[in-house]
Amino acid sequence: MTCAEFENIVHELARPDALDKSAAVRAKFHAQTCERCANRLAQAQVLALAFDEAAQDAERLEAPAHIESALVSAFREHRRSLERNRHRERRTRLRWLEWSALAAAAALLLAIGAWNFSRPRIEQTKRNGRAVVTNPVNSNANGAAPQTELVETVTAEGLNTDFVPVPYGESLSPDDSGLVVRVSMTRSALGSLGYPVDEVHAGDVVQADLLVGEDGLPRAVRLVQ
Amino acid sequence: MPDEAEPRDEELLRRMMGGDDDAFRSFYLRHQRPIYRFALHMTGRPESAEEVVQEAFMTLIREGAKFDSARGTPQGFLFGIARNHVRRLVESDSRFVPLAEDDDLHVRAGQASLSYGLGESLSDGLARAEITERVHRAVLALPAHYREAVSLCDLQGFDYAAAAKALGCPIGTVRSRLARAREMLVAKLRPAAAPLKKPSTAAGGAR
Repeated sequence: MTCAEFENIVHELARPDALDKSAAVRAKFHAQTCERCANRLAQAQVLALAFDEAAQDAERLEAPAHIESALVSAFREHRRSLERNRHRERRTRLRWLEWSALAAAAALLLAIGAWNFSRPRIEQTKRNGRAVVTNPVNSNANGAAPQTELVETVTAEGLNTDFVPVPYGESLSPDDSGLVVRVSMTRSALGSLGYPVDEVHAGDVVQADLLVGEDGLPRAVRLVQ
Repeated sequence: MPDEAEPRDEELLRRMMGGDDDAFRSFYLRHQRPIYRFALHMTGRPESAEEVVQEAFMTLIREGAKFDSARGTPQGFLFGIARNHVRRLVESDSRFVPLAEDDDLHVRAGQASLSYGLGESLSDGLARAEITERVHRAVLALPAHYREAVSLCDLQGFDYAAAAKALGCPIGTVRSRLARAREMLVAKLRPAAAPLKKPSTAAGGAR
């Protein structure tokens, strides 16, 4: 063993069982043959002894009891604080869920209302004493131009028959709102509009509703009874 | 170190994080002494050592969930926290800057007092106390990273591996710091370190 190798292990050599047996034997043999290394070993042993004394003295050293009490109290307070925070977070989450559910319900109601509002329907308004009919726009299965629907309404003037389309007229376009005009005419004039009339009463004057397009041409006629 | 019948540190820490009082108390009782002694060796003041213990365990209570078993042991985690607190204390108090040889700072070793075993003479006890105080004073004069290694290995009996985990450095670093620290201590203690029992060079044993 060289002096450099000895110096590397001298402090372990000063402690029992810190080195394996063969290394300890070689090191001690070297110390017996080298005065400088023997002095180094003596110094290391003195230091190890001093450390042992200090370590034994320190065996009784520990933190005072009041620190344990304070820390256990702090631990319990921290745990309570965490539980309060968890409870608060749970309540906040539930509140968000409630508001989200309300918002979703409101949105659904609005959607239903909007859908209902946008559905086509027949409404009747009066303008200048004339009945104005807005006809629904429906196309038949073949996609042909929408036909005027025959409706039966009860008005203040009396019960009307269904509208009969004029034979030569075009049906109302989807954009055409149409106008119902009440007129007085002879039965024979009704006949020219395609309404069935018997010859006996051809000269009678009757009241009729004409469904007139925006172009002014009649599209249908009905008798006011 | 806990025996096999006692729960491991990782188990105690896990239960602590779940709010178990008893687990916290067990963990504290198991580790407060090494932490206290380490802080005392590093600062030389019992009040500072108490403060370090309290702060280290308070930090553990608040941040114990950050412990990662893949990165080390719970003891190493706790020592890391304690070292940070010691470093802050040392930086804030210039009293703990390495001392000159003739400084008359009195180092009190906590509850240590003159103590001697049965059958020893008073002079042996006084010599023992003097040696203890000189060792503490010499250790306090070491640079902080050497002082840490000496505190754990030479004054508390940690092996190299345990000290390396506590200090968060490789085993080789612990060995080299210890070797250098011991050389410095031999130089400091040489004049007055008259051993109570002169070692026998033939046997080569110190104990």
